[in-house]
Amino acid sequence: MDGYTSNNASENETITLKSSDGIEFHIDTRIANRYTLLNNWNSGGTYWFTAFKKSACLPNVTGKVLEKVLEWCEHHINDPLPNYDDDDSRRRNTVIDDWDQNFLNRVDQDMLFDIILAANYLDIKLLLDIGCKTVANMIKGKSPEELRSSFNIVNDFTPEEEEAIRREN
Amino acid sequence: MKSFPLLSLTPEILAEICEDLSPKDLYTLTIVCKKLRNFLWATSGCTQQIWRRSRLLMFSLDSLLPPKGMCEQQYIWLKELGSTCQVCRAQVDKSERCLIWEFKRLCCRPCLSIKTTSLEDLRNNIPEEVLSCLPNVNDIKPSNFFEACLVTLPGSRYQNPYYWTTDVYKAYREYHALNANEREKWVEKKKAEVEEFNQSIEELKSKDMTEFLTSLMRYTMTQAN
Repeated sequence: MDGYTSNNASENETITLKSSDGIEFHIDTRIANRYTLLNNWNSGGTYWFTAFKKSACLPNVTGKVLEKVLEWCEHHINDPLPNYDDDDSRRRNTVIDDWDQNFLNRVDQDMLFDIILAANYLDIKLLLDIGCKTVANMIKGKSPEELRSSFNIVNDFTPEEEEAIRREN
Repeated sequence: MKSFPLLSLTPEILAEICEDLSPKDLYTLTIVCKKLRNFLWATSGCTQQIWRRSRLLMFSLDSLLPPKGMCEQQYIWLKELGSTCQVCRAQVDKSERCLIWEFKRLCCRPCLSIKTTSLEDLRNNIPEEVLSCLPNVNDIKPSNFFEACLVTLPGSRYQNPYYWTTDVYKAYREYHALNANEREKWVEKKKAEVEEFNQSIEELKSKDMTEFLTSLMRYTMTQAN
């Protein structure tokens, strides 16, 4: 399987994650321990945990996406744990470093949105934050027409509705 | 590409993306498509929170809440974003911008004088009782709070105030349709609304005034040095 495998961890230091399309990823328990939700799985806290110890199925995440998410987790495994008091300061203080920028720039838009959804689902807050920031940067300063074309959105207002909107604004 | 990946996000994630956007960007999003408009044009707490955060992020000095009965979207548009006259749609620059909080409207000078009528002129057609409970301004000439402060002496109630004409007639139609008992209640309710609204815009204006004086003092001091 072309999945991601942790290099330095011995057999008993890994857990297995299975994507929705059946691809297995053997990951370092340190990754699992960093993130609350994975952590819950790791300690057998949720029903995702299967009869096989140390393996969990992720019905909402495909192998392709999980591979990217784990690539990100692996890169950040030695980062100091963020210690913000509340959600607000965490978000305000989020900066996208070069590696993350590069990481998110390399993926196409579908993948970017899939990564955001997966980060949200797996409760990986920092990845969710930088994903959202990246999308926000794609929105900033654009006209409605530019936004429609860059996000492949159809203008579904009727001419009458558009007129009403112009009046309202 | 999948269809509309941006629109497939949950409201929570959309809200998080919006946290990094300026009010202007949020406005642009509201005219992209129906789904985004429904999401960002709502008056629900969650949406109001998005606009408030965005406003505080951009204009950190403006920590006030919008006046009673006004939503964040309308407030930020009137205060900062609006650049067209709401009547004739012409572009208005900063100096021509007549923002009348009392009428919740932004327009150009010519439209302001066309669209308003003085008490003297309204008196003949509209019962005084109706006029007594509608928003009015002292004078339509001053365009900014500073001039307004100079012409409005403290304590003086306006001699010949101006009203937004269509609002007056709309209110009058409402009033006219009621029977005598209902009218009294209607007037009282309107009066209370206007009073409450006026109180919050007083706060707004005095804050504007303080900011203006502070910047004036800073300017004077830098000149003196």
